[in-house]
Amino acid sequence: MMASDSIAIENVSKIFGSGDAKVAAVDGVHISIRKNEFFTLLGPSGCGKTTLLRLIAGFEFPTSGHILLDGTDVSDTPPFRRPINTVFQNYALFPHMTVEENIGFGLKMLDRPKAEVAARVAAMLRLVRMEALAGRRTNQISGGQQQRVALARALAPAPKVLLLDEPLSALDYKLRKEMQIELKRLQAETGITFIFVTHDQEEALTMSDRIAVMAAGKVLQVGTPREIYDAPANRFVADFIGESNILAGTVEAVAGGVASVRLAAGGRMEAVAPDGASTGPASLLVRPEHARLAAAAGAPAGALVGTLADAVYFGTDTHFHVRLADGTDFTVRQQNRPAGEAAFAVGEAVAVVVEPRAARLLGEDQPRGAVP
Amino acid sequence: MARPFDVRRQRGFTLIAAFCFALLYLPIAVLVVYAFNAGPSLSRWEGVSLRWFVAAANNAQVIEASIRSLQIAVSAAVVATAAATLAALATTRTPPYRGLTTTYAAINLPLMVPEIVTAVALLIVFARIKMATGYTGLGYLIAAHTAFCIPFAYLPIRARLEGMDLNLERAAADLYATPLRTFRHVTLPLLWPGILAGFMLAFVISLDDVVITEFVKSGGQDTLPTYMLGQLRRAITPEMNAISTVFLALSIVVVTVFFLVSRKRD
Amino acid sequence: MSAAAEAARAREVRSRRLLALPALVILALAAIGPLLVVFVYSFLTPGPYGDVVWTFSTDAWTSVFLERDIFDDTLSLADAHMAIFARSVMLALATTVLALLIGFPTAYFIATRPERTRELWLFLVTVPFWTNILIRTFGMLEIIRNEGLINTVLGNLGLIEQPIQMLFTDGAVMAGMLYVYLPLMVLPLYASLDKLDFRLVEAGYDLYATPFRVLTRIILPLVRPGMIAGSILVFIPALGAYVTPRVLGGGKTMMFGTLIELQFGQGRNWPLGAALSITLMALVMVALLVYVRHAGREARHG
Repeated sequence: MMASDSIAIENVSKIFGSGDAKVAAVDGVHISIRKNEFFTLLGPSGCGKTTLLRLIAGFEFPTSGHILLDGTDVSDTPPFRRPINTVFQNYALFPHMTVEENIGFGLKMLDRPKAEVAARVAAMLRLVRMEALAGRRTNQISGGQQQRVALARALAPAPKVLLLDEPLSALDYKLRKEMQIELKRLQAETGITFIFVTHDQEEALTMSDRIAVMAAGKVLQVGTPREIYDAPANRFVADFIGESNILAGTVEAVAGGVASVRLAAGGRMEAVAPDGASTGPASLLVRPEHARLAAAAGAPAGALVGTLADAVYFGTDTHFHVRLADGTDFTVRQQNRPAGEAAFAVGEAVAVVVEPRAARLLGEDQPRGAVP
Repeated sequence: MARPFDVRRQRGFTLIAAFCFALLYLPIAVLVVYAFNAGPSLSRWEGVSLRWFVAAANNAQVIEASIRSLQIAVSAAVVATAAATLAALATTRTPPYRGLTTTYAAINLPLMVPEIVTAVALLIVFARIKMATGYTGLGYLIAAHTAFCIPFAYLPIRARLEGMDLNLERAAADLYATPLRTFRHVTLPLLWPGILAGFMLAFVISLDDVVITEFVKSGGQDTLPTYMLGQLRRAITPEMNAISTVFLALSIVVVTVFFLVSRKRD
Repeated sequence: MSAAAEAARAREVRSRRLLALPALVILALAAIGPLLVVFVYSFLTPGPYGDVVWTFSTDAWTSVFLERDIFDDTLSLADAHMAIFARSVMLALATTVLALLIGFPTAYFIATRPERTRELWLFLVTVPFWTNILIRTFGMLEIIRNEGLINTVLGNLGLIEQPIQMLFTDGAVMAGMLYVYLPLMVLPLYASLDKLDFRLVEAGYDLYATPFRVLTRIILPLVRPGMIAGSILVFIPALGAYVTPRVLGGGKTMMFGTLIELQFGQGRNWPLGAALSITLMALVMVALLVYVRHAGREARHG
């Protein structure tokens, strides 16, 4: 635990059920979240991200391991004694209270003087631009407005950490985009650590300072959005974030962070290798936008050769599905140019040219920093 | 010309429904109409009059029985609702624990036992206690009514609790409310319509009871229904209709309130 | 589980048990306990002026089913009791079937009303349900007695010269029970029908089913749980009915309920009354078991 850490999660596991029906919803998770960081827990549904959030909030207690808040162990502290607040997925606004009463609830429970509560509520209403609707019942306002009230309610007691459980999933696309910007603004203005749970990779990439990718209760990788996208630790992360082409091959040599790989689809390719890469069978990742299609005749040396199986038009770009010699499907995403460009016909033999340093050697599908 | 095809239409169903509503309301309607009969007959109409309402209001036995009915119904409904509320809190929104199924079965048992059997059982036990203690007051009737009202009060309270979002209480805890304050500020206000509905159900069930009261009551402890049951054996005058009409009006008021309360969902 | 979580859980379970306690105590004293006493009483000897003498005896149980010939002491089936049991079951069954035949179309009618008026129709079914059973029975009495509505109307029309004797017949008891318990059939049926997805009905018509076949092949199977629940809700109280047979049935058309009452009144045979009560309970339990098995099968299917 470092002084700049806000939350430290140390080897936390949460096991539900007993006997044969035991399920580890969170399995040996170890992460540190820094002060004033926008930290995202990303993963498919059932990966344990929400359970981890509930452990931090205090709605569940860890089966083993510790949760530290500013260096203090809060693993067994009930939620009403943790200076951590939550924005719930369905907002959980109290239906029998007005917008104002909802926002002031936490301060009232902390027995703050009435004047202070009123002033703080007014400030929060301003912060989320809801002054006009202060006296409304929460079922008389729209989904986006409910979202703002939930945020204001959780921020009003000035918690050290704000937890957000897929708070944008119930909103439509346009509102979601607006709220994403709003959330970033609020985080910057309040200086509070945000821990954000989502299954939406785009949301995670655009909003987060750092992301932890989770699957089956384990953390697979922690890093900045760019690290996660460009240098996924393993195949699962590569598949989950963005689109990916995975090529099978054998590493023949590793030198200076570059691996020389003989591909199952034929040919040889240089790939960026993570630390500690060794020779032997391996998988290569190539993002679809990091390759382009070329005519089979006169293709540059080292290009992959295959048959164009399908071309799908997407407006801004076209996805070409190429079947390689070993049967692997390889997708190339190419931006569309003004009309007149030579098109490729389905069934034609084509070459796939991978840009230099675009291929990356993937690690084993082992979670990093966790004991299996 | 054939009418346009309607997927919801089933031939003859509307006719049967009309018959059903007629069946449900004709006896009540006749009852109410003859309460206003000027003559003493239940079948020959002699003009409109309120004389039978006046007669009922001046009948000391009727007044006494009505007051006793209300006393019992209010006491039983209050105790039953309080006990049922606590029991509902104990048995909902929880992973199973030892004793949960038993509690659940015990609360619902009175719904499955025929009334006459409960009545006989209480007669037997209370007769012993009356002999042993010499106490013959209203306590027996109130205890009996409370017991069979509990499952009825329990139903809407439990339903309300189960429909309640657990996240609301989690949110309260997250916002620094201790368990007791969470209950006072969040759970109880949200549960209130259910408790009110449960109380009214229990009240009406107690007020309507004939069989169990008939068996448990000591001499001179007639409630309005048992008084009416006794009168049905004699020559009936429209005074009975007048009493029934007032009773009916009271029921309709309570049902209407119940309907409005249980319909309100927020 | 961690020690803290385990302790929290144990505390919670303890407070839950405590919360349930008041209700359980009341029920134990004034509902469940007395039922056990009834069981004990069925094995005692009747006292001379009612109540019991504390001597063990199985006479009560014997006389539920068998009767001893006064002259030669041989046992034979208790015809009188058997007739009453049979009448009770038959009347309860007939009431249930009639309630289903009338209640289903009514519930369907309500479920297919527009949203705005549906609640009003439902309310109209609920009002009689909440009206005192005695008042409703009294209402029925006024319709069917010799000077009642039906006989008066028929007489005034000159269709009959003598009033038709309807009161104090099995038919009167059944009509009374049908009237009293009909809402108990309509309400669960409505709850089932309300959830019915009419797109399934449309799909049936799309695949060439006639309205009748849509009813029997699609709607009825889908609302079976509601039909079973409604039937149980009508059958059980009808089987143990006391008020209706007492007011509309008179002395000759006795049913289970009135037979039990007789033993505690003029009969002065409390043990027999207790044994009859247990018998009635057993019949009800059988009906409930059938229901639970059906409901269980339903749950597995769907």
